[in-house]
Amino acid sequence: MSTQVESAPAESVDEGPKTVVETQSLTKVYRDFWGRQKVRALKALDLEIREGEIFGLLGPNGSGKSTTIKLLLGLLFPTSGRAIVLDEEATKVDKNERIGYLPEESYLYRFLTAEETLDFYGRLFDMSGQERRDRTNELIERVGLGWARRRQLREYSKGMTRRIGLAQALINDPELIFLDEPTSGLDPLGTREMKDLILDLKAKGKTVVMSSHQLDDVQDVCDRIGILYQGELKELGRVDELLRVEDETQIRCSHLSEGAIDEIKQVIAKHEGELKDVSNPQSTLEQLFLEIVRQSEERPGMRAGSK
Amino acid sequence: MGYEEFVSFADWLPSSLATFGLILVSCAFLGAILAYLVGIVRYGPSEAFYKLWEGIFQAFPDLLFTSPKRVAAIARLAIQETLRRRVLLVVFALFALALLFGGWFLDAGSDHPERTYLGFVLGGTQFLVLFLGLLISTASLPQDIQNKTIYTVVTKPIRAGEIIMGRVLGFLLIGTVMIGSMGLISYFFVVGGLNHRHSVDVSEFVRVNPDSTDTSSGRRASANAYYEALSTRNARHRHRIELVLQQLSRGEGGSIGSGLQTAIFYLQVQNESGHTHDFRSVGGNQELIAGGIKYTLFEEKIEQKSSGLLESLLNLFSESRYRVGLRMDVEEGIFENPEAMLAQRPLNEVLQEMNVTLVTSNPQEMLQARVPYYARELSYLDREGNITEERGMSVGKMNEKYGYIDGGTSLARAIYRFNGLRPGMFSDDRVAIDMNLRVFRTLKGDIIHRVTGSVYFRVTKEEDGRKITYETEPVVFESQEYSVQTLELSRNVVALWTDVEGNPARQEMDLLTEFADNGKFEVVLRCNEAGMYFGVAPSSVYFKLRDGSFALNFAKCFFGIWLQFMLISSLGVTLSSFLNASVSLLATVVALLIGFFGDFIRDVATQQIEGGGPLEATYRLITQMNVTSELEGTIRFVSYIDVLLVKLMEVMTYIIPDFTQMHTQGPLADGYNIPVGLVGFHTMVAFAFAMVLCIVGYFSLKTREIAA
Ligand SMILES: Nc1ncnc2c1ncn2[C@@H]1O[C@H](COP(=O)(O)OP(=O)(O)OP(=O)(O)O)[C@@H](O)[C@H]1O
Ligand SMILES: [Mg+2]
Repeated sequence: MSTQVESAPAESVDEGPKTVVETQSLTKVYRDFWGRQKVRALKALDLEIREGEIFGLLGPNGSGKSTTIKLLLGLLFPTSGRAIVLDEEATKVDKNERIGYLPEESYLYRFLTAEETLDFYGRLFDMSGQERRDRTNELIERVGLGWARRRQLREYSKGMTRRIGLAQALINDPELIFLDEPTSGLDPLGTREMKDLILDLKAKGKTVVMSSHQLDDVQDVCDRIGILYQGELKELGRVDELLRVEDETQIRCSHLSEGAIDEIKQVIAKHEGELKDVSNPQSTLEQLFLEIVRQSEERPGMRAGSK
Repeated sequence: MGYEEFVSFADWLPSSLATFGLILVSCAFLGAILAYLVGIVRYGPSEAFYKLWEGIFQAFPDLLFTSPKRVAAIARLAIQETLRRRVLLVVFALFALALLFGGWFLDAGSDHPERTYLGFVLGGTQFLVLFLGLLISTASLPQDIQNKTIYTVVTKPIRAGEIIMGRVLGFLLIGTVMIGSMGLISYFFVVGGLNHRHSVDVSEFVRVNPDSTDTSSGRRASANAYYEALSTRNARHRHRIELVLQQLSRGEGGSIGSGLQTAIFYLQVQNESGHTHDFRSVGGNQELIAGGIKYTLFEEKIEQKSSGLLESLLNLFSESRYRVGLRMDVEEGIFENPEAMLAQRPLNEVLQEMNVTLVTSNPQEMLQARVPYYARELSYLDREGNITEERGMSVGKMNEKYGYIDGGTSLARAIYRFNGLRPGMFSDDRVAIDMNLRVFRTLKGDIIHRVTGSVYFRVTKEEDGRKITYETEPVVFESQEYSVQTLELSRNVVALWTDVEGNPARQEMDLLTEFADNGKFEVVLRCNEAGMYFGVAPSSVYFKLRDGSFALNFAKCFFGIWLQFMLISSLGVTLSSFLNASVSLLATVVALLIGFFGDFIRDVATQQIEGGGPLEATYRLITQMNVTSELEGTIRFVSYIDVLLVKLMEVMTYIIPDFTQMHTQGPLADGYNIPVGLVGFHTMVAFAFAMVLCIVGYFSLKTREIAA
């Protein structure tokens, strides 16, 4: 017993968390009916996502975020390159036992009620009746739809559909969850709940791959992000590292008197520093994002890691 | 007009399984080659080979470990989706409308109203149900893909095969409910629509002269008919009702001089429009004593025998039937013959005095399921007694060849060899032979006068190394042209033979157990009149076994429609796994047409039909060109394209099962039992095809890029 306990941490130190998603120069070209090339939606994407992290895919509209997720799910076949999910080729069905997926719009059967929807997806996992009932009740409460559980989805608002879509993605208690724009259509409260839920999943050791435009969402929850622009990966790294500005120091205090602020200004001046701003801190991811978009437009062909 | 008893399961199963396996293997092989070619274009030769190998390798566990729960979930979804589309309601409403208005137009007075009725409900149900199958099966999957709802399904551990099978199963359940309820409604529609009664005015009974051909209805009376009347006209026809002498008994001891004691007459309804009637209750026995004779009007209830649960259930709804007769008991005096008794007081007067009202039951023998038992071999003998032709009996209804029996000579005859008849196959101690003869006259003569023929049984047995031929006394019958005539004969036959000493011998014996040689014997048919011929085919003479249940026969026919529905829906689902909704609808319709008109297409392909293939025919149609004139100039090229098209279609006819076969309307409407073996065969074929289609669907859905 004791030897095992000792050896376990040693191993994890050696290898780190294991890789759950890996892409090797993954490329997708959409073709039309005659096989003619239409759009190069993804260009040679190399990505590695490790167990237990929240990975955010960022990028403007049409940059290839959804395409990447669909490739990872096997909904699309790569034009070249490989996508490996949970140690299997992404097109394999077996991996689906352990993953969950929330599409960009909730594509659900509108003639089913919330309960029937979850029950249906539960059946697809070959769950027993009792298991399905328990799981359905739990998830409906968790996404806050208890009051509308017997209504058909056709009557649902966009945010409500989003919530049931999320519940559907979690029906099998997956290890790896793909969320395509999870906060789209949600009210501020819903957005907050969604973010809490994602963090909760992380706390349970799940891996989350999400895409979004809401930069502050990404900043709040993601450990690492990749920024896509026209199908190319422009930036990749830990959120805190990406946002750290090396030659700037940010000091945040509360209940500071005017006198105290003056005193601090004097200290800074004494050390030949320059006080730039004393207002509340801003979302700097937005700045980074805009910067990358601007740079990419100036210097096409620049890639993550090539600077 | 016979339907061959289908060869038994064991006979065809091994050979057809082998054929089926061969087709399956070659299909799989062709499919793999095709897939590889596509793969080469996409991934290059080595990668394609790897992918193909992997795909095939994956297919086995995927198909083998199909999860019933997932299949059921998809089936449920397909049902919910269909119910929501209201197409079922529309189809059902059309069906109801058709029955409602069809009822007005269907002619209950035609020669065979049951054929009209059955043709109508079966045709209608088939059309509506197949149309429904087409619509729901081809729309489902494309809709799912278009709405992208399938994204959340295929990212679950469900296999492509389960998505296909679930859908087919769901549609099949819908089809089962639809066909089942339509079948039930149709059954009552047919039975109810054909039901009618006639009443008889007893004052209309008149004396008939049994020897005369001239009767009030223009038809010959039964041999023992003494009175006749016409019923009221109902359902556009009337029946001739005859009072037929059934039984005479003389005084004690039966000695010649003791005179008549009792005579029993039965009321018989003659066949008209292919059916007869029994009577309703006349309200118990009624008596009348006049002129030393006691007249009793009596009724006997006819026991309805039911075979199986379905039949006995349906019998609960049907009315009681009676046989009604008049019995005369001599109280005083003696009568030499029936004529003398009738001279005392004509029976029509007796009936009138009794003031009886006669009402018939609903039609009998209209909806039946005759079970024919055909001979194994048939040979024809000419005037000199030489065999002119001999054949085994594997010919069905379509391609029957007639042979001819010369009349007026005892040597020319047709010999039907039967084998395997057992007493249990008949309902009582009688055997019934159905005959369907053609009569040819070389002499100009009286058309009304019927040609007589005779039938007897014959068997040759080996006894102590000698061959002895036993024959029964011939039974003479009058041929009835254009209809099936039934000879009911006692199983107790008198066998005649020449014994060892060369003396004629005779003995009564049981036809099936004693006369027959291990179940084998022959039926010999002769034409008795010189200058006449009987035309007979292998299926013209058969033993009529105990009738099957019509309700069951009806159910079998609807089961045939169900099988077709299954094929259509699996075809629709499979095609829609790689085509969009409208294209797969079109493709399924084409397949359906090929399935229905396979024979025709094969005839076009082998150029047995004038006018050329589809393009050429269209050209001729547009230019109003005669089908026999040659095409000229450049337009000839269409005929070359046609050759290709037609060849392609011909190949398709072998791939797509023959739909018309599965629909066993013919025997049902003609009143023949549909053999269980035939139904089994169709079931096998249909399931095999559905299975192949599901596998094709699996591969096509699995290799499809869902989000592209
Ligand atoms: N089925 C398709 N056929 C052809 N082109 C497609 C298809 N799907 C996406 N594209 C193209 O691929 C590119 C990437 O699309 P994708 O949906 O991945 O973008 P996205 O980053 O998810 O955008 P958004 O933020 O708007 O969701 C776009 O140029 C889009 O037009
Ligand atoms: Mg997107």
